[in-house]
Amino acid sequence: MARGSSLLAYALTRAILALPMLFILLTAVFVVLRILPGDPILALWGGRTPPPDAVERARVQLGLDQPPIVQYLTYLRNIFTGNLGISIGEQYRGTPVWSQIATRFPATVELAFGGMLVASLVGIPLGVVAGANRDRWVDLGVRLYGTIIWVIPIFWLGLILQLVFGVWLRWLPANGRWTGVDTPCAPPSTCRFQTGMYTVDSLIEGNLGHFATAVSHLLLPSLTLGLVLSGFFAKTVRANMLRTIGADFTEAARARGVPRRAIIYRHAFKNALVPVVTVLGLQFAILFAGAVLTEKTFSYQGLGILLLESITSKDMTMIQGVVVFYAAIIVLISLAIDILGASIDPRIRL
Amino acid sequence: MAEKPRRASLADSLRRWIPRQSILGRILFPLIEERRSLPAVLTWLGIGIVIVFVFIAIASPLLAPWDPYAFVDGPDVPPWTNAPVLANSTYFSFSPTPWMNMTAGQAIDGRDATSRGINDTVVVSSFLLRVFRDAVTNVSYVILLDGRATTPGHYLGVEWSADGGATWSPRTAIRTFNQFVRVDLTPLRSWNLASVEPGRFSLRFTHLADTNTAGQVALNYAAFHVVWLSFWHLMGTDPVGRDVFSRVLVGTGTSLQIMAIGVFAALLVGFPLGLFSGYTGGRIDKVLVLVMDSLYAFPGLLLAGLIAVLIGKGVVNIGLAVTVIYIPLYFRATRSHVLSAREELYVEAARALGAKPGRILWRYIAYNVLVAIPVIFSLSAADAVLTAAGLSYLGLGVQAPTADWGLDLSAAASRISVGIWWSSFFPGLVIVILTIGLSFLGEGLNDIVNPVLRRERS
Repeated sequence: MARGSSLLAYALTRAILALPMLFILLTAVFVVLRILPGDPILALWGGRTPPPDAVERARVQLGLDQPPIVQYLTYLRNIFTGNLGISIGEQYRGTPVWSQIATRFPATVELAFGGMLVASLVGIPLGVVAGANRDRWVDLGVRLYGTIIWVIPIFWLGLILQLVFGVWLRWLPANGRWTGVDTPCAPPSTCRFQTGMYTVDSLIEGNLGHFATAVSHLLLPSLTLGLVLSGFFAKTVRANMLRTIGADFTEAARARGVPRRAIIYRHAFKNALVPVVTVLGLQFAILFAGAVLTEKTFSYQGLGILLLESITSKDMTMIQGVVVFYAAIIVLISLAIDILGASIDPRIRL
Repeated sequence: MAEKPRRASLADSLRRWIPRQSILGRILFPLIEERRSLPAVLTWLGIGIVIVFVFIAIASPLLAPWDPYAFVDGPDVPPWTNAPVLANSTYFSFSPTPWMNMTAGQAIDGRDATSRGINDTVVVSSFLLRVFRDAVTNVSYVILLDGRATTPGHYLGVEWSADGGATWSPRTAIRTFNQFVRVDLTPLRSWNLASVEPGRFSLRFTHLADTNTAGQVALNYAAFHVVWLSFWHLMGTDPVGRDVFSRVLVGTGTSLQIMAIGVFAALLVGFPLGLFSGYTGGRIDKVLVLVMDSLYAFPGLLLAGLIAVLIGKGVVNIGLAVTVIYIPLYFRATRSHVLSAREELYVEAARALGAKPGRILWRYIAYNVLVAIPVIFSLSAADAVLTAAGLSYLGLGVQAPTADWGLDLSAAASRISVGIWWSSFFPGLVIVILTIGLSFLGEGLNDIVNPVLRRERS
């Protein structure tokens, strides 16, 4: 049981180390929203003169009439007690910020998973092939693909996919998340529990027709997000393949007469994947930023759209809530990836 | 065999002016001497693309064939063609008349313009057509009479004039109700731009009846249709009729400005911080690393967007907002280079000779770290172009009517669903070309200034 306990110890250490990061991000959000030059309430009105009573009301409601240090402490206390406040925007006025985030978050999770899936399915094989055929045409092609797809604006790729598959070929719905009255687990049907992710819900419901519809709506946004990320995957896997192919243990396998195919897949590829997991942790920031752009392109009702809506409807509490939520998720994910990496590769724990 | 005397190459003549071990020399000489190698080819390609874009940004006012801010043509004109554009307008003025509710006759809003007296006439004019080119191919007017509100036996007589009412055509009787009647005028005379300008074209309506019984005629809609051939546009026009090509050219400047401000400001902050943090180490280093890593982990686009909302939406402000993303990047890269350079023997030797910390930091460490900067610089520049475009696309960046690729793309994005692709495709395409150029430059330079990588390759 020595191995298990040391992993637990590692996980605990990482969790404690993650706290300062969360703290720094929360402080950064506070600084950006309250301290930076420019009045947030006036700024949100974008140069137009807001009605004076609205400004005063918002100021008192947000506690902006208090000294910054008091505001900061209140802000931290509210977040750690799970109180993200009540929306002050036109659209969701009076509803708790938390409930809006909870309805939108599953959509973004679905999109992020879809994107990661596409990126892995496309990027990892490309990286392996390129790494195994170093400096041949395949390698050059994959490197070019990796460089080019990575710098294509995600929204532009999304519009092109939308145009080709949604408008010209009419194979897939061009726009948006599946909406309507008959989404999975909608009132007439009964589910034991509900996740808000339509692909998962339709499986819980046991309705394959619903599952197909959910997937068809998810396909284009995931493809957009995933293809852009796949360039990065391919490059990382390729670099790690080069390292493991040149490593002593592959050399030893080659000396023992292990066939080339087995060397590449069993020895080089499996070991090349380990560092990829750790690098993945840093890419979640890019994944989330990409998800916002993808959501906007496909009018896909996720967290990113919620943030954009709250910015246009001048909803300070909602903006703050969503951004804080993003920060918390990112800290949690990087923690999870760290622990995952350590459980795959015991050397990391040393 | 005696060696032939070699002709002095470009590299030879450069060697006289640029020392091989200077920063410029360490980048330039491999680029010239190994110009056939893949990294050098990529680098030269990247340099070429960047130079072309900088040239376009500077010369765009001269290069742009149209005014990028003016409505110069019909909306959504496809690229590479003179497309027929339908200009369609109803009247905006009419003569004094016994007709009632004349303004309501302009549109299908459920109300009609009506006349109760037989032989009541009215002249309507000021059809506000947007015809930009003297290439009118088809002219017609369209009338809709309301059958329910019209007494049986009563109908409308229509005459038209193309010279402001000086001469009138023979009268046409409209006896069709509840559906649009389109009367083609194209073959009746030659049409030019002047005759379809607002005020030149008029219609005269007369209330007619078969018998002399009292009754009314109800006119629901009257409009003037002109089909004209648009100008030729390389990239078509956007949804409000601005030339996409001109806006793409002028938008280059916006994009490069934001990129330059963002990346330079990040360099100015991140590089010294990284030098200082990496060289001194200790508690300050730990705190700085933690702060920078946290910022790096947060989606930069969102952070920059929030800052942009708060500090305003000018080009400079967006540039500064974008900076926030790249400070951690420069900080991390500089710091990691400093950490490895700090342990080198030559630094130790300098320390042993009694060099002051400031001199060691600048002369022996910073100088060597600087070589790595062009790589990070061009890679982050590519990313900054994408971020700036993303901000504008989300509506958090520069504001209309500034010519900006992301903004134009976003304004035209909704047209994709009806198959109008050019007004969003081309702004995106130039973003791709510029970012590919910058990242080729960065990746090529990376292989060139990193001798270890090069040795591995050969």
